[in-house]
Amino acid sequence: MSNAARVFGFMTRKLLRDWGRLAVLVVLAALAIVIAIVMRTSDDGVTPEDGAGFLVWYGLSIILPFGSLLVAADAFGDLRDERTLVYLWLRPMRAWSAVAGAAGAALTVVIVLLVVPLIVAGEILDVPVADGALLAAAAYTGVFLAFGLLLSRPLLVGLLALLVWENVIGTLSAATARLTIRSYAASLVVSEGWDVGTPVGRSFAASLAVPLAVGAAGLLLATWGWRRAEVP
Amino acid sequence: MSGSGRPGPMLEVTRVSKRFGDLVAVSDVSFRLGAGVTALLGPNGAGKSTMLRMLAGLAAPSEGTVRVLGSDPRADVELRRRIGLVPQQESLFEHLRVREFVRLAADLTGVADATEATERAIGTVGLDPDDKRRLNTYSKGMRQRAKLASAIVGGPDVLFLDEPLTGLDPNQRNLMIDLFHRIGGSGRCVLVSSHVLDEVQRLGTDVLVMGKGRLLAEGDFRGIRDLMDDRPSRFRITTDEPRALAAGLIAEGLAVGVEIHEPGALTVATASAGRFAAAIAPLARDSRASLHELRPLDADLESVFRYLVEGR
Repeated sequence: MSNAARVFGFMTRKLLRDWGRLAVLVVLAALAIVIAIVMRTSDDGVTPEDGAGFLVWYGLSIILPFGSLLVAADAFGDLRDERTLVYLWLRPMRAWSAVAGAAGAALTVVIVLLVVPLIVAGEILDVPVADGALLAAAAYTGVFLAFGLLLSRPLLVGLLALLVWENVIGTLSAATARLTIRSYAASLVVSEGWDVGTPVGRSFAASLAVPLAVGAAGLLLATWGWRRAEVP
Repeated sequence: MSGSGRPGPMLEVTRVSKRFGDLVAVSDVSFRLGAGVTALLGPNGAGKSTMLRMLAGLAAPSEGTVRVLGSDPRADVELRRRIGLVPQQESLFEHLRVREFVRLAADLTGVADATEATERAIGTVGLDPDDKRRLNTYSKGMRQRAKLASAIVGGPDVLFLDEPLTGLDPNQRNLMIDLFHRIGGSGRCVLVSSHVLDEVQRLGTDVLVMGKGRLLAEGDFRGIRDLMDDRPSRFRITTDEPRALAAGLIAEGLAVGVEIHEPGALTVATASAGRFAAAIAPLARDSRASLHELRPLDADLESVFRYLVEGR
């Protein structure tokens, strides 16, 4: 078994031990399904555009970024705060092994707890949300994993970044929307001409490439941070 | 055993300083160490933990170089296979059992027979490999031992121990000190930090003394005492003729001060311990005094420590 796989196993188990965090994520994800069922069964006759609007707003703008932050930033962030990072860092493994293992664990937890329920909600509402949700999860996980390793208060900084960057700057204009992950993920969810409250219209190639590039950049940053870390 | 007969120092620290903003935690420290047990002694805040962190590669020196087994511990990832560290902090991977905690270290270190090595390391520190309790239920002493098992499971050539005896009961301390000596005696380098003089004295005579971020002294603490030539050495003598002996010591210029505290006992301060030791027996004979006891009063580590760190 490789060291990346060992870190993956350790980190997955660690992330799943925080019952409070798990409860928050499960409730938020379950709400997506409940609301989807309510919309679907309402007498008003919900359209796919309404469903996409809900999934982009609640799924891609709220629970996915904030849930990814809670999971990914804490992967290394918890170890730093608890001063247990030393027990991993001092082992003879390459930086990328540690980062890949932790990223895999965080992404797995995010997919199981958040992306899968969103896909279920999408199925209920006839909206294909899987691609957008998966790519957004990959991007956010990569970035917030690096936050956990590099910043002393990753949750706070991540929260501010999401609120200011994704939810303020990204909504100012179509041009600034290009700077947000949500815009690219949402472009994979909505059909042409739909108004979902978020500037979309990114090309298919860009919608695939940009979130993956952002996630990869996050992992590279985390790898650099692992090598440069002053381990408490 | 891989350290046995190794040419050159196993640890080499050259003009190392470490700053955190305006705070200078370690200042211009240099030393070299070979195999065996060495105590890193100093009060809290002396820079011991920072020094150990730099030696283990966890922190980069602001200035100077650190070499462990000839390599930079921060840059050479493979070197970590040969380094063990017991950090000062109590925290562990709380959700794991001791076997899982030590096994993770063994696996990530690439130990050949990880199962056997894990059981051996846990047994060596006196814990039960089959203990089903999680580490968050462990006492302070058990946590220290779990950390030690994790540090030694890979059979490191260099072992850094930051206050490893904290929280252990006297019996456990004896076992751990014996273990450190066994590891040091097998050609490995063991550096143990402590601020407790009694502990250090039992770890051996080789010390590095740090205070306020500086290396104040290094070597055999008895030798360090001899170098304190600006401070008189004190001896306690019990004899049947204390006054005659005191007069002779002063007349011969062997004592800079003599105190008679109780019948038959005197304390002598001398500027030259070597000359005093050579002359005391002939002088007693000439003074017709019988020497019952001759005991140095300040050749112990505490005296050295007080002098170096506290200046008294």
